[in-house]
Amino acid sequence: MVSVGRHPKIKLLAYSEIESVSGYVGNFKVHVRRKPRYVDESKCTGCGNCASVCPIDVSNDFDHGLSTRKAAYRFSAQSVPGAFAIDKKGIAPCRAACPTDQRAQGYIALVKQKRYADAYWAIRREHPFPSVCGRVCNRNCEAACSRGKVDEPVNVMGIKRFVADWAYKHRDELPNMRNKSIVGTPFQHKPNPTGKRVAIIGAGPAGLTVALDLVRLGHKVKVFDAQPEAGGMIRVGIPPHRLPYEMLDWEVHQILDEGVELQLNTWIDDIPGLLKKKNLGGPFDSVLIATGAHVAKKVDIPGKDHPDNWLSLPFLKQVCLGTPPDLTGKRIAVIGGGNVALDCARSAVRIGASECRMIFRKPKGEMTGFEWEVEIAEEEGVTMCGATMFKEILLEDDKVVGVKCIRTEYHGYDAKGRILIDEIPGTEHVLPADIVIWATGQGCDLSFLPEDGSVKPVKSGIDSDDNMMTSLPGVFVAGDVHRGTTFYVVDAIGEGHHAARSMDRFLRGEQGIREPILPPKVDISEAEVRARLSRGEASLAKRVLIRTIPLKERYHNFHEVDLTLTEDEVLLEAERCVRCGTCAECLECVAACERGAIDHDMQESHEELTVGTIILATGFRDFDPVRLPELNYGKIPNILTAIEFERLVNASGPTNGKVLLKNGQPPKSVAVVHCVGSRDARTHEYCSRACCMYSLKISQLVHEYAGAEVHEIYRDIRSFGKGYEEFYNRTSKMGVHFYHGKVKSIEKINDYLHVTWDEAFHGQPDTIDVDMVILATGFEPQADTAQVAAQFGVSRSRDGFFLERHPKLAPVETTSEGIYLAGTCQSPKDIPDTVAQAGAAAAAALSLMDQGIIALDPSIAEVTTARCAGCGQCVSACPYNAIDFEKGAAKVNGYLCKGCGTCAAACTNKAITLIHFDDRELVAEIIGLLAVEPLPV
Amino acid sequence: MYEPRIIAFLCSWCSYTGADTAGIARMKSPANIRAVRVPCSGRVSPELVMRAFDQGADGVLVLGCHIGECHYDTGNHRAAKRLPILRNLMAFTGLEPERLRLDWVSASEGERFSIIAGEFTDAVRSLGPVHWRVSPEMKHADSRLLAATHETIPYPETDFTSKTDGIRQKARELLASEQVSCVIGYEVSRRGRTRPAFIYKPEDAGRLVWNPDCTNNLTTYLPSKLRLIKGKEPLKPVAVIVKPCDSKAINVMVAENQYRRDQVFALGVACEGIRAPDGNLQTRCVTCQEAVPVVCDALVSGATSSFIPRLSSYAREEIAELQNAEPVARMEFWLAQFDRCIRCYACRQACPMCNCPVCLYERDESTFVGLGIGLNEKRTFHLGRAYHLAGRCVGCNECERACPMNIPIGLLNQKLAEEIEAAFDFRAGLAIAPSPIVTVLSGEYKEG
Repeated sequence: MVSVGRHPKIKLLAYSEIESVSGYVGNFKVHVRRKPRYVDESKCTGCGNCASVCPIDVSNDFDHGLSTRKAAYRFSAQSVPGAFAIDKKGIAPCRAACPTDQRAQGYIALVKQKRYADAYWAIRREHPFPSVCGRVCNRNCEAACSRGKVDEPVNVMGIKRFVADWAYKHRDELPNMRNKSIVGTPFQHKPNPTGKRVAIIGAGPAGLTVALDLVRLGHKVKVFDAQPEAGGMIRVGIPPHRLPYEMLDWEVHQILDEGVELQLNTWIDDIPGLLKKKNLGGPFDSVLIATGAHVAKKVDIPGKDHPDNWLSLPFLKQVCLGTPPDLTGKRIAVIGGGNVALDCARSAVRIGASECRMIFRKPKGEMTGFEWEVEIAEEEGVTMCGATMFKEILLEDDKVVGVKCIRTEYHGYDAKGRILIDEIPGTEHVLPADIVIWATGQGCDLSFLPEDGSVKPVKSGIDSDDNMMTSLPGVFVAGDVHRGTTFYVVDAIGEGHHAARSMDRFLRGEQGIREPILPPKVDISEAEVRARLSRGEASLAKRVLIRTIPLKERYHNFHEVDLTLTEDEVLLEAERCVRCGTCAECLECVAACERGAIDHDMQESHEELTVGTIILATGFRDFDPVRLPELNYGKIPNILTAIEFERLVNASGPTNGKVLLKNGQPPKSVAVVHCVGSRDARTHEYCSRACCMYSLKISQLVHEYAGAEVHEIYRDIRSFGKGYEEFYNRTSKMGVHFYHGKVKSIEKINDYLHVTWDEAFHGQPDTIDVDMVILATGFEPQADTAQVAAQFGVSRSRDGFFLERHPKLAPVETTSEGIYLAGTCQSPKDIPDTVAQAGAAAAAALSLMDQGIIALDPSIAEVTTARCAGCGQCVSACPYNAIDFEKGAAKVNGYLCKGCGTCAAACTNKAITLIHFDDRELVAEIIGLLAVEPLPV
Repeated sequence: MYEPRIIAFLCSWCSYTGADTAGIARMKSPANIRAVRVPCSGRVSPELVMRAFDQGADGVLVLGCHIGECHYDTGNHRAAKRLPILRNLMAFTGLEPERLRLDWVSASEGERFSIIAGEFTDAVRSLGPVHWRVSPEMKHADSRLLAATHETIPYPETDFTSKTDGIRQKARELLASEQVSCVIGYEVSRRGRTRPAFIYKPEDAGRLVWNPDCTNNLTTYLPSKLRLIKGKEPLKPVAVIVKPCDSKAINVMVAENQYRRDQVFALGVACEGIRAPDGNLQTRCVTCQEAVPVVCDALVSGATSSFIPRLSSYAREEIAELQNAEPVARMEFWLAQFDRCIRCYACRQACPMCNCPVCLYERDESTFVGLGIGLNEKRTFHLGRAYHLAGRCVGCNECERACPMNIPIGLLNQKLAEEIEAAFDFRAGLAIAPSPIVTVLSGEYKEG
């Protein structure tokens, strides 16, 4: 195999499927689909670093399930080519659902192995703020989680938070825990500086994501923000009881550590100036606007302009920057039903509010805020006033005293997406309040845009093309300010990645949209999830829930309410992942590969080969003894098929070549059962030929290596080849016992396997008790033989194997000219026969090639033009499109015509005929045949 | 016991090898089977099968590769389409359908070959020899004898002057504007017969008429008028007056490359039906389904026809009656009909589909049929012609009308049209499409 792999004239297309074959001998067109192996064969040295870091274990096909292998693997130690491959079914649903492209299955797999530092870097690769999304995410991943089809989705957010908190706790040791770049290989560790400068306005999640991505690509980045702290809305909009800042600040520092420059307290209002002028560190080659949506809005109702009407965002900013107002004894009304309103209400409760109500139009079950958070807010003392429309802020003595409300009825949305709400007359009531906090939506402050309109705004934000570029070349936009409405942190980060890719292309002068083409998403069915659970590939445990701090500890402070999962809990939860994509895409292999051979975005490719001859050597399938219930294979341990035994006894096998029972002890006695799946009317009528001899070899091995007593139960010993009978005699003399009969049953009695058979000589049942049974399984045609036969135009014999043209005179040829057979795809055979047949097939193919010319069959169609009406019936009838028209008459292309004669049968006028099967010849033959009187039977 | 003679057409790759396999395995096959090796079951033309029966075969067995395993990709698909149609035609004319069998035997199925050969021989043996006789009383039977109560519809009284005027006016326009070189229409001869007319000058357009006797299918003349100058395309198209039934022939002929659609100007007439010599409506008009020509470039003015579809297309009682008769009776009936044939070829000449440069049945080489007027030869001519029209005949029935011996040829064509519609959901001439018998089966073909 190695010499085949090295031969300069042999091109080995491993990991490939033939899609279709067309053409004819000497000129076959073979369409090959090359499956992505995600490893560049030409770079891979087969060192196995990728497998050593791979966190995914799967059952090893090569060892027939007797051992496990990694998702990054090599089929066998002797594989040619020796390159590794990655067993990836596609992109896991959690990754596909996440706007940031977060590889959740990847870091969960690493957590499972307690590789928390690696998991942290796997998260940080796409996500600069793990602590944030471990706490306040909308969790698209969990909605998409396949595990949710069976019970509850994996607690992805909880796992992420654990990793983020673990990393923060170990922040001092963290840089020493890993010597590989988070971008990938050491080659990419320090990107070449491009000399391009980028200014980013706004240090929120979108802006900082772009900053980090561009720095990693070799650009120089400077970020400006008007606020005194970096982080944007996640720093000044989410109160600390949900999101503590120390960790966010640390994460911002990590971004700065990678080379991003940050300038706070700076309001930018001259965008064209950034591109031209030298102040502020410019001129910059490109600018990103990521200023967010920091203007809270009110609804126009009477009384809204009284100073005790507060806006949500300034209020939250005070809370977040550690200077909250004192609300002791105040009655608060929060208007709005979203997450911002919940933040305001829960903050108000913490700083002394005596009563806090949330007033919103939709009923409680339909509100925008997360359901779980509504429950917590109620627990903390917030009153939900759902299905209530606020009509007026009531004032007395220039003081707010309450909100005049009316009950509503909700009817969903109409086709245009407008909300349908009716007010119920006669339900007017007043909800008391001293202070009203407005949380009814946010907008963007666009006052900084250039006055000349060169950066074009749209209704609620800034317009952009598909590449996120605004109407001013070089100026890009991302985040809230792009769409103009509030959305989740992950969406901002996702837009940031998109903008960063576009800006990178812009800075390098590349044109057009070139978003990465990803492998297809994996979609596994409920049945498949259940199957994986039953195979023990994931734990059956219930989802671990997030615990919270006691209620009484939540007042007069902003302690975080949700608790981190413990290490035990997180390991339990990580075990629940069903590993949809097999490969988890943690990209540890990318970092481990010193040759940079791994490409997780590799696409499947198609190749068309032009070949003169084809040899089919598709092999056989081992008979599955599960089909014979009396043998109890798969139900009782220590019953092996011959191939399984071969793996066991192999030095590179699961037991390093030791013959061991399941309990780790060597067997004292072994039975070898012949003719399993062969010479049996229930399965296959034919003899599989090779099993007798390999059974004898197995007996010798067991006898020699394990020193066990060996019993062979055979039907007939067929030792037909050269030296075979001698081998049989030698085995017999070694002390192997032979019994003639057919095995009736194998049962487990006490610690022994009780084998029963009908002894053929005396006709009585006979039994034996052994430790291990080896089944000499027969040969079957491959499962897709019919499909392959149809593809290549090859016939099959009754047993399902490919059919040779003639059993004696053309044993390697097929009925299709130029297609030859070799090995067990033609019939069961042993290695010497296979090698002999392969040599014959090669010689047959070579003799054709050596001639360099192909004698065409003289029997092709011919047209008598004078008779041809040009009606085209022959053209419709021809399977090969070999007939054309010339001057109104049919004309046969002699190279394409294969001589089937279908045209001659179709022609009404018999203007077209087949040479050697001409009508006159056939009619004469018929007349001649009919002239003979039949013999009486 | 009668020992039948059976011709077996065996495909070279599967069935012939399969027969060989049977031999190698020493399985028995009856000696009645005489094998003719052909490259593919698709090579077996219906003419060869008919020829075998003519020459005294009692049964014909056609064996090919299983569907999907054809050495020639789809050759056996064509056999699977043609031969059942032929079998139905033969059954309709009195040969037992069991005498023709199409089946599949792969190269490895020696046993299957042996079983099929045995079964088929037994079946044919039990049928005995083919009944090739006509009883004396049938010899003089009239073609309409079978149709006991054939519904006759008197010809409706209508005014034809507006249609005649419309035709003349349009013909004048077309010729005067030199849009067409010729208008093919009808005129009344000096002896009062309505006959085809070829008008080249606008001033002659006044000769054209429309009346109840405009029976000829004028599209028959199109190929010759369009090939006026040999090897050179005529400069202008030809206009032709078409009835609904005639017009469909244009679609078939365009599909068969006889002319281009733009070379023909179809001047349609929404017809009331054509009168038979007995004053009633012609049979084809009784079963007509189209009020307006399918192919039509202009409809003559004043052509608001009061047409009502009368009977379903294939409701001719004769077909049903023959179907119900015993095979022997059917054979006697048809042999009696064919016996009257004088091989004048009037049917062929009237047919727009009969466009072969030299008719297969009028050659002196006698490959498929001799030139004589033996019953066998006449029968072969009519069955062969009927098969050639399968999937092509548009049902204008001019062949039957033209026959001086009153042979009900139209029955054969209609029967086959019915079969084709049932098998392939296809009616000839409704669109420009080749006959489905020559094209590949679409979709899944189910064996057995």
